[in-house]
Amino acid sequence: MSGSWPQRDHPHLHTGNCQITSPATNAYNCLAWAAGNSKQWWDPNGLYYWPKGVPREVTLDAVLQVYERLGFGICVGGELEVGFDKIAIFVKEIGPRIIPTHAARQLESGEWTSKLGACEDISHNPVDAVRGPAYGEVKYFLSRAKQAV
Amino acid sequence: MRNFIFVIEASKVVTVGMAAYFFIFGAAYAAEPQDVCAGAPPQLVRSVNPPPFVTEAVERAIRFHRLVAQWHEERGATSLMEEMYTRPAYLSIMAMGPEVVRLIIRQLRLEGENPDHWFVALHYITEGVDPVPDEDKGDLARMSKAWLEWAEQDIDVG
Repeated sequence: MSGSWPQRDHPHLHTGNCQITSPATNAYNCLAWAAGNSKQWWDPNGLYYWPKGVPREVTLDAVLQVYERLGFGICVGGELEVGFDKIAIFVKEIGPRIIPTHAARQLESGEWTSKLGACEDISHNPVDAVRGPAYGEVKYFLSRAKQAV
Repeated sequence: MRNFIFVIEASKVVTVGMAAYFFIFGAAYAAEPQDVCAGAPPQLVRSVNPPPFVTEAVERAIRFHRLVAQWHEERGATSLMEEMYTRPAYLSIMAMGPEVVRLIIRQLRLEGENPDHWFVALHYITEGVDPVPDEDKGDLARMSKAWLEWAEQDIDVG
């Protein structure tokens, strides 16, 4: 791939399973992008945007609360279901800590879209094409009924 | 808010100094003896004392820019601020202390509408300053603007 991300972070990404869909930018990150926001960097650090009422801590529970407030709940799997939006939550384990590392959003085609840190956003299939040392593995899938635009 | 006082006209010193640094040290290294087969031990021709115009400010600027490049390499594709600011290069930048604030502010200016994540470092080094209104948190362009306005009032960026 010709993306700006290091190969070491995403060893499973290649031209056959992903496509770059926007230029690299610091304007937004994966947590915001999965929620459909391309204007903000969401992070529990106190200097950044974080939804009100959600604990400002780097925990899986806090990240799940972010999406619960947007109407998402845990579901069984990442298969395409008509009428539902889906998000995949990635985690990696560092010692006793389970660190939420990444969120990917399902597109209407059934493929997934991910913003890779400060690098590009991409569409990819399967969802775990972005697994690896940086993001770990998919831990949960979340879903909600599609909202009227 | 804390006031920071910095050396004036630093931008000219940095520009001239960097060129001179590379010119002189590049030439000095190139002139080092390379013949390891000769009987006499190699002679180090580089001067012990750097030229007087290679100032601390120049060396600091060079170190900062090396650390920025190192940080970009180290952080990879992480989305978490915790992972970004605990990378060795970012920690080294924060450890440079108040003297590096001017360089970070100048870096933010250069980055324009796509500012990088310098806010944790600025917040830490200035011991808690946070000029960004709550409604602008997460909007990096606005966060950068708030810090640049703070810098205009509180420090001489040069």
